[in-house]
Amino acid sequence: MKKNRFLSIIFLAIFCTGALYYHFRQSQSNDIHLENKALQDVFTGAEKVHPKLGSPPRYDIYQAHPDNPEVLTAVAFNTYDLTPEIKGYAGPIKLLAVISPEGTIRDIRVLKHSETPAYVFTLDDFISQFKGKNIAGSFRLGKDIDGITRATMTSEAVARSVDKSAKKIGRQALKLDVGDPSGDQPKTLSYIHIILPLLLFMAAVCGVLGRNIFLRWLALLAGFIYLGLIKSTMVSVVQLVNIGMLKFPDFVTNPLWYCLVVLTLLSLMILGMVYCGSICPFAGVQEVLFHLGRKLKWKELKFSHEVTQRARYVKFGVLFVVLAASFMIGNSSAANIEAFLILFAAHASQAGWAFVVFILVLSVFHFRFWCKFLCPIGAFNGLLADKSIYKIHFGPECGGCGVCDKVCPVGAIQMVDDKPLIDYPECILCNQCVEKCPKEVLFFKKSFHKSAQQRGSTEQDTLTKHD
Amino acid sequence: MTNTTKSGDKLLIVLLVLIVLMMGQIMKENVASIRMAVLANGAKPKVDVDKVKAQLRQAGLKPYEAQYWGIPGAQPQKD
Repeated sequence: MKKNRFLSIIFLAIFCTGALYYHFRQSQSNDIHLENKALQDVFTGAEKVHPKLGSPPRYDIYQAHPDNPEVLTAVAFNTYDLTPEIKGYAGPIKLLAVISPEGTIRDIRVLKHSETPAYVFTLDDFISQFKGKNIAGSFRLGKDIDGITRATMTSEAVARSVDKSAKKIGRQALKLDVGDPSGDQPKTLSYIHIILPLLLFMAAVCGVLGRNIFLRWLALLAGFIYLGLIKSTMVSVVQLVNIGMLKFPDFVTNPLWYCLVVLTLLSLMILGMVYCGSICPFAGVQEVLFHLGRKLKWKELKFSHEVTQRARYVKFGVLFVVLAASFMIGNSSAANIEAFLILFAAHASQAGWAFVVFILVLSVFHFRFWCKFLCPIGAFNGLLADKSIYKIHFGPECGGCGVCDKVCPVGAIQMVDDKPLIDYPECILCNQCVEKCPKEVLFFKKSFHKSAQQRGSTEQDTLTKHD
Repeated sequence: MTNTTKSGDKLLIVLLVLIVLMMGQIMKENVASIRMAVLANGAKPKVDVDKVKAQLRQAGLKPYEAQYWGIPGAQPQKD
């Protein structure tokens, strides 16, 4: 369809331009000005800050006495300079730590991070726990330091980074006897977070191909429990932005991120909206709420086909604005507007909670309201699904009865000249049309077969006309 | 087009405008939260004011000396 091609071109233009702009700005700037700004906030003028020097790199801060020679009062350093290997959920977390000559942490300031804002709302409170602690002590998460709920990877990365870098500075710059880092255990790859998403996608794909409603609901339930409740990790536009910014988490600590991204992209390119239709935890919640509304016999909100089609552009608008804003700002904070992130992260402002409740209430009255009109990652997935290798097609025996149009819960089928036309970016592969078709003429088929057939029939038509 | 669908369409437009405004507000809050964390107000010291006040009282200081703590820039009364 022409409109999908047009939307894909706009998406590619915004994504590529935005990513290039972001990387150009990154190449022009470094952490020094952020470090200087943070140092100015910590030391208000009575101290003299020496330029960043030495190995390990650090700022030496002196108390300038008019009569006495300079006395070292603190050492400040960027934790990333000393522990570049430690990454959070979506990349490095850069902190400026200030340590007294006796080894007490005087202050810690966040310089830069790429974590999802919904999960790190309490980052300030978390970091303030380090203040006043001696670097010789241990910084074990859950024992010495309370982690951020649902942001264990971020909490662990901060604790390990502060612990390791502070001890390094303590030993090498301040000549203190501080021992070894407490929480720096070698990380091992968690295979369970590779196997579980694989099983999840397999169940979803089997449900789609086998027209098995039970498998579809099983995958939705498993997605809700595993991705939503346990891991609070979903395919979101934040990941898309981070990919554009080339901010990737460590594979060993976060294999689920890679599995989700790769499996979603593969399934989109091969079958279509498998993730949106059969795995997304928020979609599951919305479907359950909608069916609950029907059980309670509450009136369903119905909109005309024309307005629905136009309203669907809103989600593309949201996607484009979010992408452009994120690349302009230089982090994924603008992308953190998705209702499911707020719901499953369980951290939000009052406006955030009001927004989620509003969306959930609307889901009771209209099937997948969020997915249909607002989901930015759904919009992106739709653009890819439009180019998938296998698609649902109608056989030549189709009589144009219009049953498929009526049963499609997302309104992805439209009757044009008594022939059904599928809007693939909207199709969630629920198989309702395939199940209910009285002539059973709907089936999955390779897209290029159709093109070849169409070409063939057109050629035949042309030949017949010539004859 | 029925009247019900017409009114439904108007409702959809109103709902979408409202939701987009809410999303804008959330986006603004998120951007501000990151900026605040990264720029000026990094990690704040956690002071248990009541505990410190109690310690001051134990140390023999008069209670009124602590009452100005909550006001930024305020000075204690001079005896």
